[in-house]
Amino acid sequence: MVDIINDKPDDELPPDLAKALSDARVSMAPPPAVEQKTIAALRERGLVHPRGRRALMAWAAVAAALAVLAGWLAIQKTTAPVVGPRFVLLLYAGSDPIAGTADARRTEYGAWARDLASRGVQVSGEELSEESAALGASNGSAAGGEALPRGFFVIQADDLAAAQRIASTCPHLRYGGRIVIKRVVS
Amino acid sequence: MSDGAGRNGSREPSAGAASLIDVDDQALLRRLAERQDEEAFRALYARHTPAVYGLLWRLTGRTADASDVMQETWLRAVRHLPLFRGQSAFRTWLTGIALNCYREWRRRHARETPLAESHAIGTSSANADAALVARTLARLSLEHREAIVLHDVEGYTHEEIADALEIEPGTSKSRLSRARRAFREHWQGRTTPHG
Repeated sequence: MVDIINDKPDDELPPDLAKALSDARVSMAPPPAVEQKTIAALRERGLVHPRGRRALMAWAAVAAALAVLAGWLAIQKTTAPVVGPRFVLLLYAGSDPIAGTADARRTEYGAWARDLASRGVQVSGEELSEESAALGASNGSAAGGEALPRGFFVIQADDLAAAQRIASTCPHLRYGGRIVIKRVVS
Repeated sequence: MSDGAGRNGSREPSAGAASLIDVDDQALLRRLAERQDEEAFRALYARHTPAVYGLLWRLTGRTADASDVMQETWLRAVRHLPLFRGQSAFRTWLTGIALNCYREWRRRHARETPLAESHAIGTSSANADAALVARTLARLSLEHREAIVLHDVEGYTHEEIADALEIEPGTSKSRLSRARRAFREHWQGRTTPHG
């Protein structure tokens, strides 16, 4: 126990009391309600967003962008014959929420496809619905617990490396998504 | 401790924040600034709140007041995140904001000497000296307690205290001198561990 040395000047602390004071520097967790109130206030001001909600909103925007793009691509499909090897770009959700506004994403997906077409790359794409089913899955679930693609593009490229180079420019990657490239067996 | 706080202030973070436990402050701050990522905020909150809240608790002496100041501290920190340039550690920057918020709180409570929670601190601490220190601090005036806490507990210099509280360094020194006298009087007057 700390004791005072009484012959010290009034404004000086004896070493043991000074140590007791410095030892009193302890961390303390506030009541749990403080975190909840703080987050509620931050949400109200738009300073934080729940991750799940952001991801959902972002994917809704991506789906809308793909739908818009599909309409434009349908026209392209009827006017341009596909020549050479084709590759499917399967679009998956990434682990991080997708940033940016929905309008910005729509513009970018459309511009990306138009740019490919203007350079002579045949491209088509579709949005895939949430609705799905699987046969032969071991646990009986629709996808066997695996992630499902949310959309795809089919592009024409000389080989897998060329397809990879094209896919690497897709804005889907910049928005946090993942792309798997598969060659179409002709 | 009446509010459930432990000596090291540990509390389980949320599942999402727990997954970010190894992510450094800079990466979390980027996620928070660029994506308003709530899990990044929760991870930062879990990491830095106990130390800052401990300081605010010792300064205000009351759970409710320390909680209010802590909440305001985080709101300001997140709002002003673009101003954080990383020239100091995030904890240091956050503590500076906490002291600003505390200073505003103090202006509204300058004449109060909260005593209500002195026993709540002391009786639950594992360290008897720390418990006595906490009880003795709770008996001091706000000005005296603040001088002792910032200088003798937290280790701030008089210049740092002067910056934080917008006073002259000489004022900080004279306040500390008076505060230490008051502290010793209360300390010597103690009779029982809970007295």
